[in-house]
Amino acid sequence: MTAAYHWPLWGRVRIFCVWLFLGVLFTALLASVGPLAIGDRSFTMRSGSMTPTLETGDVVVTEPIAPLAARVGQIVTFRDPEGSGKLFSHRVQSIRPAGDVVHFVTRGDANTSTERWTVPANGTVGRVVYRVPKLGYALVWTTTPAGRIALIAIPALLLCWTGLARIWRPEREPELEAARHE
Amino acid sequence: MTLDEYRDRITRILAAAIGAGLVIALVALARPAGGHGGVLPASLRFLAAPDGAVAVAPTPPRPVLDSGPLRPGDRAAGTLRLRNQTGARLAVGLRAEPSSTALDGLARVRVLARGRVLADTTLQALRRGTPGRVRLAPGAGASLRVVASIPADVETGYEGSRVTVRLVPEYGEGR
Repeated sequence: MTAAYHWPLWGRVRIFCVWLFLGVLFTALLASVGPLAIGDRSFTMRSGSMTPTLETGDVVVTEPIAPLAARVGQIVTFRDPEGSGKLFSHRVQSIRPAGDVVHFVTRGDANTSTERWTVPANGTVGRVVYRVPKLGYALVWTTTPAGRIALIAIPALLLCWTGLARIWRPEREPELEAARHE
Repeated sequence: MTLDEYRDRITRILAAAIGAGLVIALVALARPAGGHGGVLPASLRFLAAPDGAVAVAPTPPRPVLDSGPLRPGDRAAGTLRLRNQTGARLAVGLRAEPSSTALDGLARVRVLARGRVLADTTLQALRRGTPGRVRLAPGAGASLRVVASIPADVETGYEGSRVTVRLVPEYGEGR
């Protein structure tokens, strides 16, 4: 006979909450890292230069496009023209092709100054497609030592807890189960 | 599968689907303006300039027309009411004073009064005033319909432009 468990209402509510959380978590992670599989990239905003359009901690997903495919008003991701190696996601103010290069002027929505930079005409820039609000905080936390430990410990504890719950859960009386199906 | 197991399975699927739906809705709503698939739209806001000779409504800061997001092919309309406050007959036209030249050659403005077209031109040309005038007897009023649009064949140049246009009454014979 199949062992059947009796779940009172609160048990079903708990199942609902756990799976709601899993649905949110899985979809948010898929939205953040899934685009990598099709050649897009994702970054975490680490400054408020694009506030309120992009907030600190948002994950932004960009798709690579030809420089001349960018339009004024779009948000593009590029390397710091001053050579710090940082990536900026700022709004395009102007685009001017000149020979083999394309000149861009960009500005963060919350900034007062602009950046001027060039990119080879046959190169690429990243165009911001969408953002996942605040998920970057969690992704950055997972790169810290505490975050790495938690990434291993939390699933392990959940597995243990699930296993113990199955062992300790009382089996339903066969008569009750039979009555329930009548 | 027992009934309880079946219910549990349904609960799990439903909860996960709702969770996924919440994230998808959040991402869709949080999509940055100017992102993929649509560049930043233009916006036009027309304000009437109060004048001693002609009463205007709505009065600033309430706009005559607030286009909201305006892309090629889009149009927006508003109504401006005028009333002659003088003791003489007036032929009233409107002159545009845009806050910038960003949409000068791109945006089209049509001004109609009593079924007659006073102007159907670019924002730039409207700086010189409406070719047509609406005649107002002392104390009489008229409603002018202002329609702003960006023609569908405009490809670029409008993106992100926000222009406020003052509509200044001007007087003369007109046609």
